[in-house]
Amino acid sequence: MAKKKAAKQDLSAEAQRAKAEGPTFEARLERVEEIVERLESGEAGLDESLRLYAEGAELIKACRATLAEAEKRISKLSETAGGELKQEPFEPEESEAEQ
Amino acid sequence: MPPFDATLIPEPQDEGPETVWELTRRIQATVEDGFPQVWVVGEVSNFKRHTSGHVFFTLKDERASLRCIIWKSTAERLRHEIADGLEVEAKGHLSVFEKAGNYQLYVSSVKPRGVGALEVAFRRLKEKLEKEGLFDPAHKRPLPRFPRRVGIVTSPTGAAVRDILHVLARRWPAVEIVLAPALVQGPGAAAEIVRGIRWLNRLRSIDVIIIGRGGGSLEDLWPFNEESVARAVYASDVPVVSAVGHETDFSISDFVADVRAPTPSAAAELVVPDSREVLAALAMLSRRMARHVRHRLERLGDRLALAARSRFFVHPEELALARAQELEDLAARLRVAARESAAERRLRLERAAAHLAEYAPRIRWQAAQGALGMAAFRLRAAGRTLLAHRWRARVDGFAQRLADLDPDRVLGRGYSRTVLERTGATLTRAADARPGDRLRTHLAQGELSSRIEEIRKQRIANVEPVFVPSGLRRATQGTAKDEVKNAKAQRRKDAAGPSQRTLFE
Repeated sequence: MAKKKAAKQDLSAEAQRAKAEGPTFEARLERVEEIVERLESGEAGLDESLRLYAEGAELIKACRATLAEAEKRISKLSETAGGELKQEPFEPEESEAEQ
Repeated sequence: MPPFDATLIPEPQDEGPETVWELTRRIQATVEDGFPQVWVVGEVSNFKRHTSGHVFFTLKDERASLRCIIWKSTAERLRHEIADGLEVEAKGHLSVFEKAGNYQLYVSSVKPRGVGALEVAFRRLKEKLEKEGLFDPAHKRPLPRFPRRVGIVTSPTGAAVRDILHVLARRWPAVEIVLAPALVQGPGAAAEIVRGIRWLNRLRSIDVIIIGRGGGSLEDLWPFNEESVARAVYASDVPVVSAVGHETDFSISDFVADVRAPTPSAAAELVVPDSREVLAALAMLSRRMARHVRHRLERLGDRLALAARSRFFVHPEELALARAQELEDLAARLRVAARESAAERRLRLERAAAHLAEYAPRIRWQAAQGALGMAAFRLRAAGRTLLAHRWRARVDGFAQRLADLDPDRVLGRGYSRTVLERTGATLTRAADARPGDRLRTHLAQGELSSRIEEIRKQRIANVEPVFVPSGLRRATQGTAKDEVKNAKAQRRKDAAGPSQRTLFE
């Protein structure tokens, strides 16, 4: 029973996380490619072209921001006594050669 | 090992003993010829790695022992660890070490006896799982192009995790990394690897998993050949990359996984794209977009400029002039047209009027009769009241008088109506006509066309004559008394029927 409940909670957490994070990098990149194709097809009117350009520029900006993130996020998993998964920050040991 | 030099063998002497060296060399030749290839099994003892790099040990069983030497270059390439007590198989050739006076096995390859068993087990499991379909290419999933989170199952202290983290940081620093720590060799390792894979699946936020470890012997790598690990990899919902040992090492997990990487570093390269490449692609897309919009605007600007240069924008008054000119032309045409048609119409109208005037009396009489008929009808509709009766009498009176006044009836009594063709009007006075005028005379039946020869003006009594007799003379002579009586009668008629006069005027 507890296992099923845990699974359910995991599901809603996953959905919540997906919502909070917004469109993925991949989704943004694909949309930019779509926009460029539509613009270059020449089918869009002037108003639409300008709107698309603005949207594309925003998306490219967001993608570049993602790529510029330098902060490392590395964590190590372990299990608590209660059977829950816990994440803690992790720093790899320096190798002998690097020391 | 220096090549055998035949010149060093001393010639056998006719008398006297050999030297030790001479004898030893002869033994050496015999041993080398007799045992060029040897394959022997025994237990290792006195294992020693010399500072020179050469390895020395003794292979023995219950009853005999054999000294062995592994040359430095061969020793470096050894894939398995040799230790005292280990049962090993060794291959090589025999020779004699002159100085010590003993024979030795110069080892070309050696491996622990147990490894054979492992290899058999490996082959057996591989066949079994392949038959079950765990290696089926159709089951393998493509890796996500831009993973947000990468999971790693490996030792937290080994070189593998450091290599992976290093490559990931270089290629895609924004990626999140979650390590599920596990032993990667020895007992208990398989269970921890399985647990790691399960944990990462439970998180439900991992996009791809790397399992692996650095190089080692077959025994070291053995956990990645365990059935439990293979099944855990197969059951994983998240795609798995297997990166075990060196390029030449193949583990069962490599066959089951969605992708095999030759090393842990290679796995990191497979799992995330190079952000530099992606940035370049973004820059290209950005340029294409901007270029297109710029061209579009330029083209529109050109069209606008061209249109603005048009004559009518530069000299707008010309347009008004052109239009004004057109308008003037049209107005002139209209005037001409109007004039013509007005003239035409008047002519037509006059002709029609003339025509109509000829028949006016009859028409007017008919109209009057129509009106009377309507009045009579209304009277009848009004019912039999006294007023109606009186009015009916009047109407009947009118009707009778009207009937009397019917021009055709009058005509029937011998009177005629003459029309002056020149004016189209009915003639009542001789003075209105001139000699030579054409006349048209309407009789009860038919018409006459004639020309006036002579005018005779005549007055008939005091009353303006209603009819001009032609051919027939009305009896007008009489006494004065008759004249007065006639005049009175006439006046009475006039008073009672004003409509009489209007009929013929």
